[in-house]
Amino acid sequence: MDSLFQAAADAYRNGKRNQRQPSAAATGRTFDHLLSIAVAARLSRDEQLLGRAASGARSRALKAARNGQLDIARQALSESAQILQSGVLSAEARLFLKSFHEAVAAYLDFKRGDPDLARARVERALAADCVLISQYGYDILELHRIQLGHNLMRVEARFGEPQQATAIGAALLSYTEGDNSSWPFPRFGDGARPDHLPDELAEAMVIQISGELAILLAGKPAEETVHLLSVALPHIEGIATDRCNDHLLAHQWLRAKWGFARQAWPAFFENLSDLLRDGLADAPLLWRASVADLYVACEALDTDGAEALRREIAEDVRAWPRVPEPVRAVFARSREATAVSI
Amino acid sequence: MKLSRYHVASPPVLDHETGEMQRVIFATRSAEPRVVSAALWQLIESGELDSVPMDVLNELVDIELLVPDDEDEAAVILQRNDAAARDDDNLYLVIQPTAWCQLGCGYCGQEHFQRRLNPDHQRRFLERARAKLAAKPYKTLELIWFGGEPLVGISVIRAMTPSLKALAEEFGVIYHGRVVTNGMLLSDALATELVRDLGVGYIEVTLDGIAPYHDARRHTKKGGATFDQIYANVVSLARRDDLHVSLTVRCNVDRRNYEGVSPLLRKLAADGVQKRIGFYVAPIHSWGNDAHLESLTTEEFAEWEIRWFVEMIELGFNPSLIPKRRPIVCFAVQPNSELVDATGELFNCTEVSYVPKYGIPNQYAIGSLKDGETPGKRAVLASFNERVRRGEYACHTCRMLPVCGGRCPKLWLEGITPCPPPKFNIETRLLLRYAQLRLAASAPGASAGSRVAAAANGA
Ligand code: SF4
Ligand code: SF4
Repeated sequence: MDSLFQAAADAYRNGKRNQRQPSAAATGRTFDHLLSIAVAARLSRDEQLLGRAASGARSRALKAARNGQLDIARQALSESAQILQSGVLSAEARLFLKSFHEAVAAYLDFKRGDPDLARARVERALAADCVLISQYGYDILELHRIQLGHNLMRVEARFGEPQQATAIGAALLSYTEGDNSSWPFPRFGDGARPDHLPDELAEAMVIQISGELAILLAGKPAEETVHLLSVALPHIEGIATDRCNDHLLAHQWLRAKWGFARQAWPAFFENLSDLLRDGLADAPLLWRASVADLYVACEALDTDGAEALRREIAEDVRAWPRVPEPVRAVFARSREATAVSI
Repeated sequence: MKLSRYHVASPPVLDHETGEMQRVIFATRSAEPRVVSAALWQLIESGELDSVPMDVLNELVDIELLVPDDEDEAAVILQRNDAAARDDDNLYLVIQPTAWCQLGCGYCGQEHFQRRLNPDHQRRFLERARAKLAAKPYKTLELIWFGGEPLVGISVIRAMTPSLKALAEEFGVIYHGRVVTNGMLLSDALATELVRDLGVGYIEVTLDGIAPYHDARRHTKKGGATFDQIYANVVSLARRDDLHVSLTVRCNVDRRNYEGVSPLLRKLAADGVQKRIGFYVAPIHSWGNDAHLESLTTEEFAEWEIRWFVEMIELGFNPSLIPKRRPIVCFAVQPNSELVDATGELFNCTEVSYVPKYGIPNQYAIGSLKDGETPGKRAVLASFNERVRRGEYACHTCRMLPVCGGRCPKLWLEGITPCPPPKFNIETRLLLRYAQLRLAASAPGASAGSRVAAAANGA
């Protein structure tokens, strides 16, 4: 046990020194690139340019919404909506723009605290994606479809439906790993071919979905975590799909979290060590959520080594950039809220 | 897609390295300049977009030089400006701690008198600030100490700053203090206190040329010279490495002193502070008086400004040549910003308090600390975008609107056209910036890569 803790501590120290940059942006570029190839093959030059203008407006909307500037976001979104009305767009181009427009509009509703409208809009986007994938051959939109599913998971998580959210998350993991039958929204499953997704995009999506689970479970009491996470047991055991083993980081995190919640410390420290060692570049959120769990474990361990590591983490966390509130709150709650014992 | 009306194209220039005629194009909607060949520009301008490579078109869409055909561009820009003002996450507050100033500048429209913001008013202002911070999730609190001469009221600054900083901390916002001063009292010790203890990160000082020019207009109330003292304070502060503060020198110019700008630039450079300060020249406008009657015409000013820019570049200053997006014209249009003068009256403009011409009570006052805001008064200036939308001002059709914002709601209201110099010299500014970058890129030590990047990105 001591040696496993020490290995986890060493892995943390090694990981925090590893300065590799997050690779999510590169994945985004890959998706954008593949999408632009698909669009160039199907839409007219005029439509492509209008699509680009709409994309610019949506980016501004998204940035403002993330920043809490909802009036600016609304204005930018209205510019995107205006383009959607353009008479020069074909039905296909309009559907294409509509899918992305509704997704951003849903985020705005989400930020405004209106889950019903957010759900309805995501569903409209999903419906558009179904047609685009099954009738117009936009295979790359499979990733967008999963992203939209992930957005619905966020809506459920944020608006008090954690069980629904974890169920969606576990199903999306299986689907992204190629299991057609796991798609959690059967109404919007036309043309499903998740196995067509390029590997690096599937990997990025699996990490993103796990990250959402990590936010959802951060700071939750052990018993509730076990209850919620049990829906992902096949993934924890690595038997959910043939490709569970391809997505190591996400599955290491799932196993570590499961160990943490069940107070199965050897499993927790072992998986944590593997996850933390290489730094946060490949999965920043999973890395930080795991450090939060390690921090709580240190509090409970009550040894000199654990206390030293706890202090070190507390100091390091001060320099972390923006981290989702539930993860940050773990450090704020600290000692008195410790629900585990070792 | 159509060519946005919000653009400026420089005249064609020969690029000696490539042998091609180039133009610098400035998309004012995004404030992004680009260099394109004159031939390509001809195609874009004439709408022959089918002949333009797709990657170029994509870039032009990204910088909003090409926009959807049916877009009402002016409406979009004004809507964006409105949204930016409503959603600004910076709470901008101005305090005039005193109504007094030691100087008697000829062009100043204020009538100074001995009065400081009293403790009761200070308390009420802090309460208003608290209510504003509580009402909306701001990220920053920007507090400007303005005059009169704010440093004459340093006791008020000392008294209020701890509470202002505490408020910022309580609401989790970053506190930025700024001082606009005549510089007379800006000693080493006071500068240290302002920066270290009083949260000031930006100081602006006015120098209207070298001594003969400056002292002829920015003298004490009794006519005494002030240049030497202010200049010494500026240079001393600029040279300090131990204080983290942005220092800017403003030079107000009209017919009587424009020839004093160049000697001032040379003097600052000779004293080695050109890279340590910001410097800009501002035309003198009416301050509720006839000050503008001595002004250079905007066209004249614009021409001189280019000369000053060239000189600044040669001397090692870093002038700001390319205007930035300006969605918020000034704090007059921000719904929660305000200025309090030393008597406790509230305004949404910096140039109206203590100005006798505006009457008693001041026609621009939006209320007072005692009685709060008077309904409808803020809108006199705050409705500026609405009036532009109705076509009351030339801004409605002006290609510079996205980077100008309309310059000054108050001056428009008073029937004075406040167009800033870039409206008249933006083409030359673009070429100057292009030349500056090309020269930097071809300087010894610049890599071929940086040369290419400079050529591609232009200004
Ligand atoms: S103030 Fe002048 S330059 Fe500025 S937008 Fe209005 S008309 Fe144009
Ligand atoms: S209205 Fe004009 S003078 Fe008043 S604050 Fe705005 S820009 Fe300055």
